[in-house]
Amino acid sequence: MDATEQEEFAEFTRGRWTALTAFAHSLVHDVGRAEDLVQEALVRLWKVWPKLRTEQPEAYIRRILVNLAISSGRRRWWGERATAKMPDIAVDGPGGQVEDRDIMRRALAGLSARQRVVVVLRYAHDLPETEVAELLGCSVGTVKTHASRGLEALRSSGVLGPDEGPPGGRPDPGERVMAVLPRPRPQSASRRDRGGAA
Amino acid sequence: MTDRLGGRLADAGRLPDDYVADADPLVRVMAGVRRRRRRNRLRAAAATGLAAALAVAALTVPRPWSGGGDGDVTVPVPAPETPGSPRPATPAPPGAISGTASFGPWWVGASECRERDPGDPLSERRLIAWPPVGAVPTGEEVPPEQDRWKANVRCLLAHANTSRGDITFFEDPALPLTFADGTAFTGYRPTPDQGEFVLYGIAPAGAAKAEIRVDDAVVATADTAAAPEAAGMNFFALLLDAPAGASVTVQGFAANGAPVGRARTQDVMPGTFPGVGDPKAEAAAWAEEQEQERQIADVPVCPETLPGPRTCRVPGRLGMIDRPLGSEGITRADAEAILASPDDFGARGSRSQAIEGDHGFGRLA
Repeated sequence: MDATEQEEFAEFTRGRWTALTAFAHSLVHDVGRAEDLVQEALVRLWKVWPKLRTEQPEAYIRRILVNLAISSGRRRWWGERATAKMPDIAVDGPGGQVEDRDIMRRALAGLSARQRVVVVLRYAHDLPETEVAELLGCSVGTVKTHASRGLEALRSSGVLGPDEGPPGGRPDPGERVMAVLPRPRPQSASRRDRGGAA
Repeated sequence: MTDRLGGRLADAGRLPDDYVADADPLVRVMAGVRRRRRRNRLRAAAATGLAAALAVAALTVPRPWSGGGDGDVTVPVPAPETPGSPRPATPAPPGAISGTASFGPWWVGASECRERDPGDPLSERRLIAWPPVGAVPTGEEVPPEQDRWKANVRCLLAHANTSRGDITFFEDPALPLTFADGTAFTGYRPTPDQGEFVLYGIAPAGAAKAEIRVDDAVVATADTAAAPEAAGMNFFALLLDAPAGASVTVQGFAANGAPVGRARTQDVMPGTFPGVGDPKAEAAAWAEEQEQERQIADVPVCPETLPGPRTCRVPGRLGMIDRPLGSEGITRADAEAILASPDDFGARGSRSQAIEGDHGFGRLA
């Protein structure tokens, strides 16, 4: 990598760090972990920077971040814990928004990493299914499956009201569902995720 | 109302208002780049020349320690590492406590664990256990390696045949007795019921024996070994067959039977710590991952250049890429950047998380 390329990488890193950390944080809900993911993604980007610097490094690194957010969800030492018990639903009041945020985070933590990432990309970032599929490197059918199951889980946990989110339904059975990373969480959904061909 | 859902999700994922980024995040990123380069270099060296060099060193270095027997030893030269093959066993250094378990040979030795000294030929030998994956399980998220070396605490070097590499176990000076556990199993959730563990640790000065209790019953007493390389250091190591979830307590004793130092209890045996699921689910997940790995082994390797298949894998990386229908495929370089390597996460693959996870730090409280 020549000096110009290094300088461009430095500029990209400094200029995009906070935005990328915010993006990562939306996926993992932990500042330290989000920064770790961004660091790791940038380290990987460094390796291919000469080739990608004139293309779309932003899209590329977001894709890495998304996949890191999924795969790193299994890392024990990051302390991610699935929880089956939901807290009481917050009531309106002076701390209502904070409580609601906390409840939503806990509910999302109860999803598999892949479901959580898909739900956040699809509904918080409002990305179309095709774009989410591109980011995850999987099929649109897979995205639909995870989004549907993720919302279903949020509904069953009581976090979502009946009028929130798109109507539930079966995912599109037309495409083959295949794991991008063979990292099923120890939950019953993981086995279904892998074999959802129709 | 999708909008309301989106708003709640966005709010839940928003960075805290008081978030302050690093003054110069490039410093952090470049530190990661350097660590990765260094790790790759050392791994490559360990796979080829260093393997032979350490075997020669082990043959030529005098045996100053009392343990391990007398006379010369014949040390097999490990074969170069190839992708997908088990890591070659590192020969036990002189003075190491060693044994053979169902999973193969293991050993634990002692070292000052100081940084390499170019003027000290023996310091070469201290490097044979690199990378210290036990101390630096990911190489990315833990305190910088250099700080740990500079701390100049004592450490043990441990090897289990099935772990990815040898382990550097640093003592925790704050604890009266430190011990770590090495498990024989490969995988992040290796044993739902019972298993063999290499239990090892640094005993307090003056301790001639270490008594091991499992669930309050004495199951073994191990003689400590002196470690002349680290003055005044005694260490112990033994193979333990223990049930999952057992509470293990280690107490040092002097030669006259008097307790030395405080007992130290590890509540849960490695590989059985409370995780994201119950042991049965974890075991099922582990089996499923193994099955997926077998399936992925049949997937074609990602090509160097386009066009290529929509579905491909990268040897040595976890998972595979499955592009949407109609896409043009993906190059190997791109796939490498996306797919995680076992070293990045250490949660599975051919590594033993218990040996390379929390326990390597002696964080036992």
